[in-house]
Amino acid sequence: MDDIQVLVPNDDNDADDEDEETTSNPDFINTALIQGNEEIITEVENPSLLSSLRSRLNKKLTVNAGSLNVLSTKYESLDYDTCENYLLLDEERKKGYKFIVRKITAKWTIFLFIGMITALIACLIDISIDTLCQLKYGFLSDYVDNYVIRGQLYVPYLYWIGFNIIPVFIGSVLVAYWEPVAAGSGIPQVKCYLNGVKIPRVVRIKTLIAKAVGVVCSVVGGLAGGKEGPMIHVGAAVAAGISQGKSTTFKSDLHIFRYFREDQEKRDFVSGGAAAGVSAAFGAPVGGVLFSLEEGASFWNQSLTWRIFFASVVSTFTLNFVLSMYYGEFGNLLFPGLFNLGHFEEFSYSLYELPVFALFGAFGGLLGALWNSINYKLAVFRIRYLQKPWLKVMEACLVATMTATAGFLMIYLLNDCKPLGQDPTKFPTQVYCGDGQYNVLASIWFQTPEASVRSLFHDPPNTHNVASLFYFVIVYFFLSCWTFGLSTSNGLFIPSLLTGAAWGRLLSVGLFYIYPNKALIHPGKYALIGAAAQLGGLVRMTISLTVIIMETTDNISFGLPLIVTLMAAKWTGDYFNDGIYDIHIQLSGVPFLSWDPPPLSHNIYASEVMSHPIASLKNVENVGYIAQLLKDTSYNGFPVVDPPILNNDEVTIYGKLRGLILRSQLIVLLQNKIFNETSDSWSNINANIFRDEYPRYPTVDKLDLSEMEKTYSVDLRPYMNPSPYTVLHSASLPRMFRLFRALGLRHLPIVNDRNEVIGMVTRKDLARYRVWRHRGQMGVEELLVSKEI
Amino acid sequence: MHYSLLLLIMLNAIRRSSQTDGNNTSVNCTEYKNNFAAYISNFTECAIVHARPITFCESCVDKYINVLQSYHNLSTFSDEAGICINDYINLDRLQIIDTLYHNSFDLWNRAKCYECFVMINDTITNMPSEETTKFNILLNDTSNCMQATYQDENIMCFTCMDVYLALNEYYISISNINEKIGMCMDIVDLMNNTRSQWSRRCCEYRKRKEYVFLISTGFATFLTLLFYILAKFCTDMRTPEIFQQSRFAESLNQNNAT
Repeated sequence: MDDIQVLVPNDDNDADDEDEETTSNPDFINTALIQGNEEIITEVENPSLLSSLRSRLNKKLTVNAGSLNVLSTKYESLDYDTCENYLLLDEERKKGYKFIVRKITAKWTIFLFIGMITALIACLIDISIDTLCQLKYGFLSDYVDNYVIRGQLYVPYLYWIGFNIIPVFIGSVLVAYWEPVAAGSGIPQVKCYLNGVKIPRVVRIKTLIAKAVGVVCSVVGGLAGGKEGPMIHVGAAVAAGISQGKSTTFKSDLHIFRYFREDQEKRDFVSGGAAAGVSAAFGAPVGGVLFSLEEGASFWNQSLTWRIFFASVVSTFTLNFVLSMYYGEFGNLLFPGLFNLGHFEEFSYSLYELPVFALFGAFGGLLGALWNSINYKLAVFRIRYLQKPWLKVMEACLVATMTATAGFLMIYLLNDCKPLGQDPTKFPTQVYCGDGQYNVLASIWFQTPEASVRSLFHDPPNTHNVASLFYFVIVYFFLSCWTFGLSTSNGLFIPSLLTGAAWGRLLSVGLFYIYPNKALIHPGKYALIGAAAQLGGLVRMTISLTVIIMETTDNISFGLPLIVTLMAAKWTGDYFNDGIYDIHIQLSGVPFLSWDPPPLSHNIYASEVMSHPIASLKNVENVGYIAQLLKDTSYNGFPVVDPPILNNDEVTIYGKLRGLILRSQLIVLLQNKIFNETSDSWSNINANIFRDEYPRYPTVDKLDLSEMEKTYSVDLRPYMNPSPYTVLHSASLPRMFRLFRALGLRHLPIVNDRNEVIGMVTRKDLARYRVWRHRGQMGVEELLVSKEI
Repeated sequence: MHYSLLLLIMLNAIRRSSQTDGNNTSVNCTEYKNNFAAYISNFTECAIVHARPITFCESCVDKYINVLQSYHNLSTFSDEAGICINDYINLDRLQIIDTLYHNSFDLWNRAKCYECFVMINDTITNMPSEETTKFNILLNDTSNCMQATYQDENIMCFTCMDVYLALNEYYISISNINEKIGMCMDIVDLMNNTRSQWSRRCCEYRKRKEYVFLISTGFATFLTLLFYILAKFCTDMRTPEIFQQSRFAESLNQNNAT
């Protein structure tokens, strides 16, 4: 709280201070330009300070699309700061403690429902995927065996393509045309939301539907993707949906839970929903809670954690209950999560294996870095050349075709046979094997990826042919890399676990050749380590990933090997590039604030970071002026200031800060016509008039103001936040950064020592300073900002 | 070891004190126990002898029934001290009788031998079940045919195809392969042998030339490459414009410049 500037009038010559700041200022801009040079097309010919500044001001700079170091202006910040205006005080006075008790009860109820509904949706997704996949693969397996004798393998091949393309087409049309934000795994989007960035439409019901249907389509379509990532997004959307008691899409308002219609409350629910999603996906309630902790919530307190844990446990329990009912074992509770790695029986490790695990981790980190780099190049290509929705749909269909092609070619070329009946295979397909045998690759391809992971973990040693594992690793590595980033909703957990499990098993065969008499070399164990290493190398998550894997394998004693592996994977991968989610976040230009401010940045002052000519409003402001200001600027927060005492064009005059008002509040005021001149017709103004419009306020163009009304005035004082957080112009970047990160601020007015507003700092101003790390070196770069990303 | 011995002695002492006479086991029970031992050893011997090729179920069914019967006797008959089996189980951690009995029981069940025989009131008999009989008839046909024409592959594959397919189909119908192997191990093993003999000599007919398939995979790959190349050359790349942020320093410079 020491960051709040105490209002002490100070009549020192502050003009001198400002001059000093500007002399230190340009150096930084200059270096920033040089750093950003490789992306800037327009060349800065004269490196001298003034000309570089002029070229920045006069010429239009452009960058190639798909750049990592450009922020988009499209993303706004969520506002976690409570607006302590008169309406709030009024409400608190009227409602009293009874209201608080009711609110707490409501919160718990909502968390209960978040857990239950998330789990029910998960069940629905799981059951439909299961049913459709059984139909599809049963049919294909029969057809392959029927047509292989006739020498017409192209018939089942075409059927396979058809069965892949139709669902993928539906899923990608849904995503590309109807709701683009439902693309991918959804984890980057949820991560951004929890970080405090408002990703448009990310938690809407439309997204929820697109996501749920889309994930069924893409998994049934055989794409190399899983349903686990999307489950997290689904959980988040469910939480945001039911906590608000209204739906803008369906234009219905139940008039309940109005007090939860603000960013802060909603964010808490969303973190609970994300945790419930993880918990339903992996049967890992603790992992879910830790995921929410690791990936987002900047506020973290004991009671919220407890509620989130409650939602997670409810979610996994509900899923378990419903699925065991569906599979005819009522009350048996055998299905804790959608993805269950199965219970490992003999799992022991000895001290000398730890270095081996670390080596596995490092290898996973290398592969992960390679995967990320290829996927980054692909993503850039997609951003640059595949922007039109029909191109996206076509690409998804082509990838579905190629998945079938790769699978069928492997079945055809690698005649890896195994006798029937050693282990339960859903659809044993004979192809070119003898009677009583089945083709191993066909059995891997003719099942969902989850089941394949499980069989790689649990099949007894020597069941898999080394050659077929090797080809499988290579093909699946590239397929999963190609698939992630398509405009379909699927995640990358399962494909990377599958790739990792396959190479882990492969390496264990190698280890077995070197040390043939070591009883500890159990292929399932190394498959698990490989899977963890591969996934860790891709996403670079630490705590939650360890706990999730521990929970899905029911093996707590295996924590240390997993930690060693994941650490090695993360460090190796970080040497080359960022985690895949971070790469995608940077590509979309989201102003994401990391955990810590950039190091060595205490010499960057607020006066350099802030946006300078600010648009401010007077305590009592003219309606026409407000409307025009809202139209002309894109700002979202406006300082309310005392009018300057003397108005002299020669010197810039700043007004003394009285409060902060948001664009949304102004719009609601104008929309409800709360003007001083019409005070007779005001009806019962309370905080709910703002909540009814939340979260999507009308734009200023939608407002209907007559010419007469534009001459009216509105008193902003009862609605503005009278005591916003402010800092002095000499505050350092880390200080402001911590205010934003810890308090979830959206606007931070910068004042001089007379408490006059001289600038404003928002999330984008801080997110511009980003740390980069590459090959053991690091530094801070200043990002550019664009409206068109 | 010592502790269990101690425990045994203590338990015996306790029981002795509660019994009227000093004899802890009657002659009757010892006899049952010895019978059981003999049957178990017979059964085990039989199982090992018929391990490979597996004719375990067929050869050892009588001995298994004996084991069951003797264990049943042991656990139902009683002398004045109580049921016989109570003298042998739950007294020490070794549990010899129980362990060996369950070994045999598990071996039998894991082989699913009960599928081979008729069950009457949940008790096993040594009569082969309907499926077994039918399977054996079909198998005989096939193996006779295969033996008769063993010299020439072409003749064998041609003449025996029908009987073999009938056998194969019948086997598939009884063994419900989608879930778990549902047949008794004797049949599974016989069938595996027959199949591998057949496949080794007659499976060549499965391989055909798949030109159309290979060409269509090539076409799909070509189409995909074409898509990316066309996308690259036919789409204009977007070049987003950089947004000029207004900064304090710039406004000062602008003021100075004007």
